[in-house]
Amino acid sequence: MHMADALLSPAVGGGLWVAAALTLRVSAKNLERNEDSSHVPLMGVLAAFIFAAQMINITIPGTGASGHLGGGVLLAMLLGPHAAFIVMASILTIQAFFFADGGLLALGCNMINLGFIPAFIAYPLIYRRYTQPPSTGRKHTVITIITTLLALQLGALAVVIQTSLSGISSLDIGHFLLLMQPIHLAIGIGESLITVCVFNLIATTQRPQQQVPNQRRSVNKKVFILALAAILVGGGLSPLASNQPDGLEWSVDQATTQSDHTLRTSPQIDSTALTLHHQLDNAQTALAPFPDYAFRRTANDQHPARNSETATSGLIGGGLCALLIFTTSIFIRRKRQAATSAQPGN
Amino acid sequence: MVTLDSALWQLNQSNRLAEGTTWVHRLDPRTKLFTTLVFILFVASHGPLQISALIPFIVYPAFLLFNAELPLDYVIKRLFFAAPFVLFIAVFNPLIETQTVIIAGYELRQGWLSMSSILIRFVLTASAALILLASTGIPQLCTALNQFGVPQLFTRQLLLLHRYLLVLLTEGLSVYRATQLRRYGKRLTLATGANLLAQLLLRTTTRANRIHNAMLSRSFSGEIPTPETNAKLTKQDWSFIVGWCSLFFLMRHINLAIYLGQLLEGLWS
Amino acid sequence: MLTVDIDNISYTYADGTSALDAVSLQVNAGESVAIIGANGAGKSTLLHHLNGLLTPTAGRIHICTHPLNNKTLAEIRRLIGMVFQNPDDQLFMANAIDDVCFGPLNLGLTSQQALKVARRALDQVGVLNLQDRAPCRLSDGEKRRVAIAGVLATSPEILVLDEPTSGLDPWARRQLIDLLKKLDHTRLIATHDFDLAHDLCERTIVLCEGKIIADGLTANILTNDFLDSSPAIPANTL
Repeated sequence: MHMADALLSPAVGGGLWVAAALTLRVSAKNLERNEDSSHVPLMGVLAAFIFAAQMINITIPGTGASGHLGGGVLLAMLLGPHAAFIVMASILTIQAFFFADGGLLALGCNMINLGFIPAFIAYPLIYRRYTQPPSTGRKHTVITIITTLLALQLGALAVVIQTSLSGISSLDIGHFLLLMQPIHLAIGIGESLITVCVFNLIATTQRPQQQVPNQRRSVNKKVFILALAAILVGGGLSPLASNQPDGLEWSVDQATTQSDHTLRTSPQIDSTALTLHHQLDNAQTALAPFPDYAFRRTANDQHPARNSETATSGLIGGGLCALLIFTTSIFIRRKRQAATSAQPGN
Repeated sequence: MVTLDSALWQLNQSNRLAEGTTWVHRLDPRTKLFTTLVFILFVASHGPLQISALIPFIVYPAFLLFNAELPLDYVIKRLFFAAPFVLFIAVFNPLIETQTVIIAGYELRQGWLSMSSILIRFVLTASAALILLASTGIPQLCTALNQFGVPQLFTRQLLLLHRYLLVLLTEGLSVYRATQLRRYGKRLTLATGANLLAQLLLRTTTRANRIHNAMLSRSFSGEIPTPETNAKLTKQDWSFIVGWCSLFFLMRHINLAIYLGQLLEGLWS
Repeated sequence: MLTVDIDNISYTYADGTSALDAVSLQVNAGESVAIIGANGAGKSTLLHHLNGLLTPTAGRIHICTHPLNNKTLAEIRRLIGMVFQNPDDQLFMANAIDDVCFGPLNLGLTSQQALKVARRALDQVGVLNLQDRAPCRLSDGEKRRVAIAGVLATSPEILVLDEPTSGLDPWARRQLIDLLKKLDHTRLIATHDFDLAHDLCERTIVLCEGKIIADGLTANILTNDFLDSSPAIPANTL
């Protein structure tokens, strides 16, 4: 599933963006060295093919559910990891712009989850390591299935981590994982079967790897390390600057609450000495364009009681705002339409 | 889940809208891209419980929508299709966040607030991206991306994908319909579906071959050259960027909705 | 000068099937030659040899006295302007003007020069008003004109067209034929459209199973006099 802007915080989104941009750069450089120029149109039309293929629902035998081709692993098998990443990245970009699938801030996350993970993690770690050409046979089928399943599981895990770190959704990691992983296992079974079948069908007519000759087959370890670093930085800095109580207090808090649904009280920040995150928080409020924004928000921040009156005003004002904006716009548009239709020769 | 034929229709519509000639369309694509990204960042930076502070932000997409003369249903239809995943996650908020708040005399679970916040963010960020596209078009956006440092190889890939998307979707739909006519209501099985996809894939690779031949015939050497654009940002571009970004900054710091609400309440009493 | 000199070329696919068998063809500057034959006869294969997309397994090719080899490939691709059967394969850029600029820019012209040349070419084929249009928003006839413009923009000596009127409605077809009539390049046109052959080409070649079985005046070939005695094609086919 695509990550969405609505669930993402700028820090996490930004961090993943850096990772995606770095990978794009490295993959682009790698492909530029390719002497055979036939990969240029091939990548373009294959991207369009995957786009179309994702919309065709196929019934998976035995489950009755329908699945579709995801593409990441198939692309890696056909084009190699670098080209596969670029192709997936381009598909995700078009989806974000044309179909509001995901979003612009989440585009970096999606490129990593649906592009980097299948091409640079699942594919080299499993598929390339355990298969040799000719790419046929039962062993190949099993390896492909495992590769696809792994890619989807890791992708789902990534979404869970990104959402939790952002703190906009209230789902805690545990419940979220329980939700996402089984679903993606089911999706993965469908996708892996489709991938295997399609690959087997075309492998008999031509040798796919020859489509992009001369491409360097080694995974650039630097890419991996850099991207991981960016992801960790984006997520890792957050606990430092969080409004949450520091680790020890928080786990104590955890231990004393009876269930997830018990009211959790925020720590009394005033009562503690100025800790690092408090200082950071102050500095940040003063300097940053985003006021009262801690790098990491959790939904467990309680809506302060004293704001309930302003909340009411907020609601009224908000509704009025929206109303004003829309009526003004519609009024202006009607006026403009009347003006243009009044002109002769229209 | 978008289907092939609705995707075709939506793609055609987006392409058509991008050909508009309003002043918004004529703005430098860098202007629109940058401002939209800043907008999304500001929206995303709000706390998980903020709702009223987000509402004034609707002025940006609304302004662009109406000035670029885009139909409202262009945005609404696509939001409908894209909403499921967000909704799916957001719906857990009221189930998990059960602390209550009092608003306008009513007691509400905090989770409803955070869920509403998510939905508003979704509407804001998604519509901003859609409107950016419909008022700019992929070719211009790619030029802007290049100017912002995105590798040429990637923008070239985007352009080719965009160019052949309609072709492949049409072909895909054609093949799909052909199977539909002989399935008599039965679902698309794995065997048939995989064969369908394999056929499409083979056709795609032979098409790529033909395109490559056409490129070679016109002296293609690996790089796709594009005419240089040395366009500078105009005063209009700069005032657009500065104006809107300042407004976003203001709205992020001051909850305009609350002010308006308090004003109204003041007038009332 | 012989602009096209194909000397006894043969071409065999990787699986052993023969596509061309001892084909020889000489074309003089300014000539217009139609190449007709059944599907699979080898028309496209023959055309693809002209600018080195395919390499013959035997025989030699000279274009404007340049022998066709790796070193002369770039020059020969400048001399030959090839218009492909499916304009969707040829128009791969985002809009018409960018596509027509593709050739000139690859040949080393500056952006300014390329744009100028491109506009002139689009004007020549009558679609200058469509320069900013995306290919998917062009009709079939318009696409073919833009494809021709893209080739004209590189000022080739020889125009090679693969089934230029296939799939066109009668009106678009007539417009295209009229357009091609105005061009004075050496022309090789593979086609099923006998009326086009009749209108545009004074000379016609008939390909059958990879061999040239007839080469003469279009009028003669099309009225079947030439082939009455040939066993390769049934008498009532043409």
